[in-house]
Amino acid sequence: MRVFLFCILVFSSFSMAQELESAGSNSGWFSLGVRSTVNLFDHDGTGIGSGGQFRIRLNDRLNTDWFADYITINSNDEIRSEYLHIGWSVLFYPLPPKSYAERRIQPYILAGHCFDYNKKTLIADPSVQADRWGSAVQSGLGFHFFLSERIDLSLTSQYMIHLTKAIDGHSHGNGIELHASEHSGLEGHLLTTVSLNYKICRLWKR
Amino acid sequence: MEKIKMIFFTIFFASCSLTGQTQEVLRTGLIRAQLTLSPGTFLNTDESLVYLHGTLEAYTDSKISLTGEGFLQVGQLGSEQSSISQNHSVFFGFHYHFTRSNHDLYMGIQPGLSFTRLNPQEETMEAQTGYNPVFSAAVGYNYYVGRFFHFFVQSRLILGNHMVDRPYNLAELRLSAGLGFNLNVLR
Repeated sequence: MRVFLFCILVFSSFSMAQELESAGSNSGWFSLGVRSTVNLFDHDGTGIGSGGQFRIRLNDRLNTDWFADYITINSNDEIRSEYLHIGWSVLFYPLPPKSYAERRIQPYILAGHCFDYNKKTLIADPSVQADRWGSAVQSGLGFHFFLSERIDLSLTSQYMIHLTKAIDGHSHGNGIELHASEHSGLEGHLLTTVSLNYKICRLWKR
Repeated sequence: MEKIKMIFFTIFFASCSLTGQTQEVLRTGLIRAQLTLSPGTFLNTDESLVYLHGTLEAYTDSKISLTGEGFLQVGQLGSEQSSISQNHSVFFGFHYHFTRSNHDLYMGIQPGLSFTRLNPQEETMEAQTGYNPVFSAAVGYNYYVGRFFHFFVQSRLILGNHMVDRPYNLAELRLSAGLGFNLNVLR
């Protein structure tokens, strides 16, 4: 409770103390947000994830997104696949920035890198499991929809390619076996993320 | 029962009359808290559970609030044993508010985590707890009847999957309503 109230006081203090952005002066903004992710077109199946991110805006056209996600996927009701992503992306705004009153939607292109952890477990027999650490790159498109001068709803679709050997499940006569694939297949998944972000403070002004 | 109704309406109208005399409630620094019983229905199985629903929410300005919510499952509706024996969940996110006077309509998206356990299909089996990321979208309305309390109603859609022991779709609609407490901590 004390921590929560402290956070609110800090948020509100920054909100009141700092002037809002104007066109041509956006660098240094620090935003904090929460995100939900839908995992699609993965050979594992579809899944839902929760996570959070913070953003540090470098200049009018560039922003950075630092995120963490936990995603679970149900693979044919047989295998539970859990992904943990910790990474970062660079957001490029092709349109010049305008004030909140002039433009509510800001599209962007993003690309980045993340570390990922994958663990697969047989739903019927949790003692059968395998995991691996790896690395991935992602790229996609998205847009911010500004709900106010400080808060935005962002929708992003990005394809993430894993640069690591995948864990595969193979059916045998007496069940399913999980083991690392022999080759790196550059397999990946389409991640569609909806996030809400709040501009807390400006780390620098230029 | 009539007495309870009389007391309820007396408090309600007294609070409404106080509203006009007090300062603006919906502004930066408003803290809102509530605790209520909330029924929920799973969309795929029609099973219904009951939760103790707690909310702590802080307004960073009159349109935006930071909110944390928790649901502790305390029971089930219906006589047949539910497939799910435990479904606690926590959510964290923002609400966007459409406010006018003391009326506060809001919507929000909140990612969360649910801690679920199914009833075992065989007595010899031991149920495992699943930790599942869930997506939730909430729509609600608050009416601030004074500087210290408000009435609220909220509906929430939750999407997710339990994937331990056996798969179970956690898609659920929850409804909460009741009396909440509020306080402006900033002048």
